[in-house]
Amino acid sequence: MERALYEIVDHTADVGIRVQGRDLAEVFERAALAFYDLMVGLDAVEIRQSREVCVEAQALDELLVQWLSELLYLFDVQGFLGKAVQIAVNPSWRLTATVHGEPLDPDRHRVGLVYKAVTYHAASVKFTDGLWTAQVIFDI
Amino acid sequence: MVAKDRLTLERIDGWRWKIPRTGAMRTDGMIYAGEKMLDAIRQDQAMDQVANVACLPGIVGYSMAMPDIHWGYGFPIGGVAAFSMDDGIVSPGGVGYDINCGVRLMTTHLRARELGLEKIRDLVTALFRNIPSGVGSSRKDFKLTEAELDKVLLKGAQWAVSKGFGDASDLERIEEGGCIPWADPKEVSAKARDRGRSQLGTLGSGNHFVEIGVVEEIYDSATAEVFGLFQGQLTVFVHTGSRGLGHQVCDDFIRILLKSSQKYGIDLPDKQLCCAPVSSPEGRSYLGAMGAAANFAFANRQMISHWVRETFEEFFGTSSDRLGLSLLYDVCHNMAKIEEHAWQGERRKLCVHRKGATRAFAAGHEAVPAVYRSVGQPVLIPGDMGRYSYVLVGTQRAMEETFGSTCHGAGRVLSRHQAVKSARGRSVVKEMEERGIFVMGASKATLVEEMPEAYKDVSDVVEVVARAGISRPVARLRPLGVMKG
Repeated sequence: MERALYEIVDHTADVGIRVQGRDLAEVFERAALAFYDLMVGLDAVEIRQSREVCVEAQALDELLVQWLSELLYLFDVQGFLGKAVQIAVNPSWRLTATVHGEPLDPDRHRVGLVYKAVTYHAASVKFTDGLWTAQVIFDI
Repeated sequence: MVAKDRLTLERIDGWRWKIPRTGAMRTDGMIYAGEKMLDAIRQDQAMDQVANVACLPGIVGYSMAMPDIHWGYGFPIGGVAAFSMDDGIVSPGGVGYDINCGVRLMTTHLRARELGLEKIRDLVTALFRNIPSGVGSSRKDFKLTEAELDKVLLKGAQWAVSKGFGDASDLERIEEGGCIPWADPKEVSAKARDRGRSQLGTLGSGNHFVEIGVVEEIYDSATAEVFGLFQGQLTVFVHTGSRGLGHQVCDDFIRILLKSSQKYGIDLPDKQLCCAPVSSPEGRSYLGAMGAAANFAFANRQMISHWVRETFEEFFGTSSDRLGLSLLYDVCHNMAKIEEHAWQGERRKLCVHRKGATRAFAAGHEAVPAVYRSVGQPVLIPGDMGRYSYVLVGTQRAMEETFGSTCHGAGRVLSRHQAVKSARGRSVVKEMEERGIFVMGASKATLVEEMPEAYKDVSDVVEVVARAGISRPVARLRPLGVMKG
């Protein structure tokens, strides 16, 4: 059976995600897809437009938080929802990506979770047993 | 990091529990709680967070937590800590993402029994039409230009009143007069402005709400009279904050202060506690941006209560003056403030962080509005949507022990995920209706996540602060109709 795209990390006030991937690009891509899936359900999103994103940080966990924060900004300001991501991650903490998706359409999209912020608490990007694992918690 | 196994709780009395200083802690921790709350507090690591805050430079007095303590980012929710202006710090983790999240309570001349559940339903529906909530909604008749946004960030509720949202008499009934004077709009990033521009005058989601309620019981009739409260009175609570603008300011400054913590050689037990000396350029920048976000929140609550007034006028077909719809008070519960306090016989200027905690100044304090100065500052404590809320008043004991601070609400016991699980196959709306409460939410998910059993019983929280003497109950309110964001 194919593994689920992500796991939900349960947290008293909030909610988080855990994803795995074979390389950094895959794990950052899956984190983004999990971010959108939890918010609106990936199936409901169609590819009509794209957005370019570039983020720099000082550590991998910070890069992960800032990557998803950028997606939150695009959603908050433009209502942009992603469905697919092309991404290149430079291990010294730089990421460039193209996010394909569409702006929020209240008739077709039901927003389940609304994030206030992507937090640094328990944020991690680790390589163990041949797999990358990334985890992050959203402030709701 | 403070070693967890070394933390102990020492009973001071039934309502105060000390965490004696150990490891890198610079001071003791102090948790206000009842005995039966301790297990939950131990379980969710909030105690570790109280100890972590005690490690920060320049802390004055205890690292404190109010009885609604639960795990938060950096500081626990319910955390209170004061820092010296000379060698102390300011931390966005001590304020929270929703800068100046707060509540205001409006009172009326109306008696709740004159309205049945049907009328409450119509009234909540009308509020829903007039007050934007949920994702992406805003009033079609309101647009904010960049220049106008600067004025909002500088002037807060004063800006709102100058634009016709409410009266000048509202301002004296808002903490800080609805305007943080040291706000600096230049410190608010373009991203934060982008996130905020379309969100001024919107409720938001999560635990934010507008609630119609009734004064069910009065505990202190003299103070209630000064506050204009009477049994059976119809009231309106508004709970919201600085929306995406505040969240972005917090996010921006966590990034900046992660660097300055290194620069100033501050050891961080948790990244979310990143900070800078209060008097450093970075510390001052954060305070300027935080003040601006706080002003955004003050303006937001002022606009929403104006729309509450308009809705009532339309619904009852008479003026808001005749309905007696007036602001009792507006409190912040996510803020850092520069305040003067008597500490060990000396007047000291301190940076007081209250995160999920409310200012509760005593009678006679000059920051208490003249109309309430003889009794003390009103303290507004909303509970969950199915039970009750409280109005308290600040006490001298709070001035002496907690830098004039008390609790802020109920605090969650179930995670959102657990709440959704436990509500499977049930109708929260129906269950609430059976209790005589009409609820309406922008999304079904929010209603489920916010159902009463997801929260602690707020009366347990209020009992602790009352018994500990750091505030005094004045009245208990019961919800009748709730609009959830």
